[in-house]
Amino acid sequence: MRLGLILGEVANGLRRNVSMVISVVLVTFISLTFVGAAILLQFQIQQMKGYWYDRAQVAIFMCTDVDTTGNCTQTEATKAQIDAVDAKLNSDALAPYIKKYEFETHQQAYDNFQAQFSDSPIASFVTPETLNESFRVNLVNPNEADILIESLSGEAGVQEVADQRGLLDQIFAVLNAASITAIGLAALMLIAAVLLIATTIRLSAFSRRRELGIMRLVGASNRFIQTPFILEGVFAALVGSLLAGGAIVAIVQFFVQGYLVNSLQTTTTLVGLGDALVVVPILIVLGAALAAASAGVAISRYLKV
Amino acid sequence: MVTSTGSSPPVSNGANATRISFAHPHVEFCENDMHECRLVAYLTCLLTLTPMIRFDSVSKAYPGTSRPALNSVSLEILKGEFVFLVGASGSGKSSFLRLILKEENPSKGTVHVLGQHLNTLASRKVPYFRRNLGVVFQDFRLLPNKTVFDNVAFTLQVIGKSRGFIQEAVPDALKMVGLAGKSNRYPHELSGGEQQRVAIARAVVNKPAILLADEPTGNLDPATSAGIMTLLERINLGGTTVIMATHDAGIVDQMKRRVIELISGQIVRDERQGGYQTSAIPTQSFGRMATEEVAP
Repeated sequence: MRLGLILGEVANGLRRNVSMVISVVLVTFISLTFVGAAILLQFQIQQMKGYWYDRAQVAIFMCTDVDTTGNCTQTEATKAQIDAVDAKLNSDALAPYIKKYEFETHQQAYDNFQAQFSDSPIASFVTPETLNESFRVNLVNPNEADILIESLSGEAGVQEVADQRGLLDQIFAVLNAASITAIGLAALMLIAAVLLIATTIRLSAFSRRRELGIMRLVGASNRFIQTPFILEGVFAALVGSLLAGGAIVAIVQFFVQGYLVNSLQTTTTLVGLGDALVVVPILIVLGAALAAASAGVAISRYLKV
Repeated sequence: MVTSTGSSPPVSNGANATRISFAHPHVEFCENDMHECRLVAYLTCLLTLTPMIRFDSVSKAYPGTSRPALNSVSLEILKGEFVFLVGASGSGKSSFLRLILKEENPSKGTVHVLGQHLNTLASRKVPYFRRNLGVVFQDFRLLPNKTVFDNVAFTLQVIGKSRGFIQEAVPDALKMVGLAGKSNRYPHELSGGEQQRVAIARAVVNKPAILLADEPTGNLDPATSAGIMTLLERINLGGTTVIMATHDAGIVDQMKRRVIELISGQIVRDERQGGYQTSAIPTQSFGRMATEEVAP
């Protein structure tokens, strides 16, 4: 009886200001899509970090005949210098930080280069001698690259100690900025959505002020009076968040998995449907909670006794 | 029955006037029963003297106004009384009714209604308190898009009564107000008097202990008003305390019930079986005390 009555009131309210309800749906839809995209972007960043940081190495480049930077004086690093670096990597001071390392000869560097740039005309210009010999070090904790850089940069025959993570961080910074921008836009849109929901509910309450007055007079409980309005706001927001959830799934399914994966064809991993399905409930709960809160605040003015 | 008219032998106004000295203003009520030497009746009557409504030096000032709407009002209204509240517009009648409903809180003093201390009543309990009160307005306040039946049923629906109860109670209430055959009409299809009857049915369908009526006949012609008054009287006879704010002198003079007159927020007269105009001698110590306080 009471549930039927409340749902009837909700349906009435929604019907009475359809245009406002539609605008609430659209605004929540757009804003929550932004929120979802931002969350997905963060997932993407985390995934890439996990993938690449494990592979990121610290490279200790030894001098070649042509190098002038670092400790190099246009002379090839001698066998003794290479052995000295090797001994340092094995020393008690550095060994605990190092998971493994390997030495890359001129020929190996050349082969890797040819494989990586096989399509590029530059591949035909390089010779094995111009490519540095290097130690490739995988650290136990990739954050501790500074230790290697500090202790090995001064060694004779070492051109440069480079942390490859630095390159990755630039990429992540760009992605992070995109994610923060999306969150910022989402926040602005959510503010608009919350205000719009509050306005819609006030409007709905105003159009029913006679009923509200009588309800209060005859002693309808506050819960009974406010529930239809809150449900109204939640319903509109729920439609919007379901649309946003659908949009997020569609973006992952058709854009990321359907287009990006094929066009990039890289080894990097991209967010999948599993991640999208994690985002959808977050969006729904967020939308419903915001709507309930703003509708509750909006209607409270009509409940004052 | 608390009202002095009825079973007890007629007592002249002069006899009433001699009882001014009684400490409690309402004890004389029961004294009427003493004439028939019915001690039990007297004692039961005394029991009913617990006031339904008690105001203790209540003042109500609205923010931004220098003159209070009610100024140190003290009174008691007993179970089963029929009270007229008279006074010019702005004399505080509506504020008085709003205080009883706890639509307003007093600025000073305490208000007790139905044994509840309204000053301290938590606002979430107010709805449940209001279920014991019925209210009727000058402008009826019916819902135009609901039928007569639904208007009355709405009251019960929103306080969570069962469908079965509503199916029983609403036709009863409509029958009581004389609208049994019009339950499927819409308010705009009814005359003013009939609309007010619907409003009364709505107010009493939940069998409230107190019925507040704010100028219920203000929009109605004299003949229709008389019908409404007969109805209110019948409701009162059923044991409901009725408090009616009115400007209708004819009705007040004719009914000969308790009259409380307010001027500028103060009680200047509280008269049993009074008329609309101030009579020469107030018949109650209570009313006279109030009058003396008013005098500068």
